[in-house]
Amino acid sequence: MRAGRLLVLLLLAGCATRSPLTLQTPATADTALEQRARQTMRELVPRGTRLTQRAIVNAAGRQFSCDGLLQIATDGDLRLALLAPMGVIAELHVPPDQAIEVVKTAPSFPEPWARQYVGTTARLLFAMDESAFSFGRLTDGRPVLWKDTAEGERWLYVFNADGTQWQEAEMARGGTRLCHAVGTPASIHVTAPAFELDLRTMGR
Amino acid sequence: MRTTFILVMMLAGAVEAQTNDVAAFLKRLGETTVKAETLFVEYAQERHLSLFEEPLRTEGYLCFQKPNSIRWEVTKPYRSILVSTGNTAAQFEQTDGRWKRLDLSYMKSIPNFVGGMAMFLEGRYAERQQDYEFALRKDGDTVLVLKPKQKAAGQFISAFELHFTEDLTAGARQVVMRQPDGDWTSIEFSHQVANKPLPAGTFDLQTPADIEGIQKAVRDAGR
Repeated sequence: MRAGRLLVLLLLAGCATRSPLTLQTPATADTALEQRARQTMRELVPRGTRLTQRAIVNAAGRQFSCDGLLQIATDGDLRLALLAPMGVIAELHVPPDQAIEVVKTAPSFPEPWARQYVGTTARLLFAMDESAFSFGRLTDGRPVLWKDTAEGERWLYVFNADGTQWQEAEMARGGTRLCHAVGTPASIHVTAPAFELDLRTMGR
Repeated sequence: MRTTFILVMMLAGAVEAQTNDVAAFLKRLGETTVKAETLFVEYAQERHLSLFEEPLRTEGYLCFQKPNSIRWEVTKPYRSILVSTGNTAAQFEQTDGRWKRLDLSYMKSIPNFVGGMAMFLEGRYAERQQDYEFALRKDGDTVLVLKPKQKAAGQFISAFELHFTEDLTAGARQVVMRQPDGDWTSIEFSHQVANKPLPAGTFDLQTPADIEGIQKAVRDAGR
């Protein structure tokens, strides 16, 4: 297990990339565009939703498949279970604006991994609260909703030119990308230093 | 004192009767379950988790061919195939209508899974008496309860409950796997077809045949 953690640390150190997403300063205001982007973000994962997911994870040169069950309450409270064919990999409770609670993990899946990789990715993809984000634009002109967290991370959600489609999400620290997601709400590809994830959402 | 002695003797008698019941049931099961060279069966799996009010439900098909070929296919809510022929196995996932073969990390555990499945499908539970404690329960169905004797195995599964109807020929109609933390998984089987030839490609590790074609071939053979 120590060797596994060392491998993950090496991967984290070796594969982190600089974020190519740069904010315009100052951003050109556009109230109508901002409202459309916020509406799109709210509709990405509506509150009071239960999602069934299928995930293919690539980590340390290996692949894993698992099922995901995700429930977002009307108050933004998020519950997530990752299930392998023979049992639970991890169950997490991600309350809005509070620490991620790891309810249980498989013996082979350490709790810090569940918190860091599963919990943080779930929060980035499914527990966003648009009211906490500022409107802006990238240097390529695309509208973006972004925030800087108390932990020194920058979270970005990028939309198409008219704000009606989500295109990318990113979590970065000091300009270094920690997690990046692209795709559509039904099919998302996530890249992080320690893993890659293909996530399909089947049921809402 | 005399009352205690009588109670102990009654209890001992009950335990012995139950042991005899289990032995008799296992014997009857081994004799009655259809000796299938092939099986094709539909299943519905529900995983009940303490964090969620509703279970995660998946549906699909199970194909088996003696001695050790198994295909476990999920058709709803996504498409996935796990094929094993003894010591080798492959998994395929369908994305945007196309099948992709995965490079799985847990292939080492597949032979154990296949071995357990083959035992289950053939009703050969008695072979595992060194690994499990057996008990019988009447619960509408007859329920055979297997509890792992080894502490290591008990960390993952606290009990398997196998539900049988009066007709034992088709084997268990439902399997419930209970975990120590209270979560549980139910797999219900239906529309079982035994001893009908499965098409070539059913267990192909590179390009497995479509389940629709397998289903049609099995149903046509049954007419």
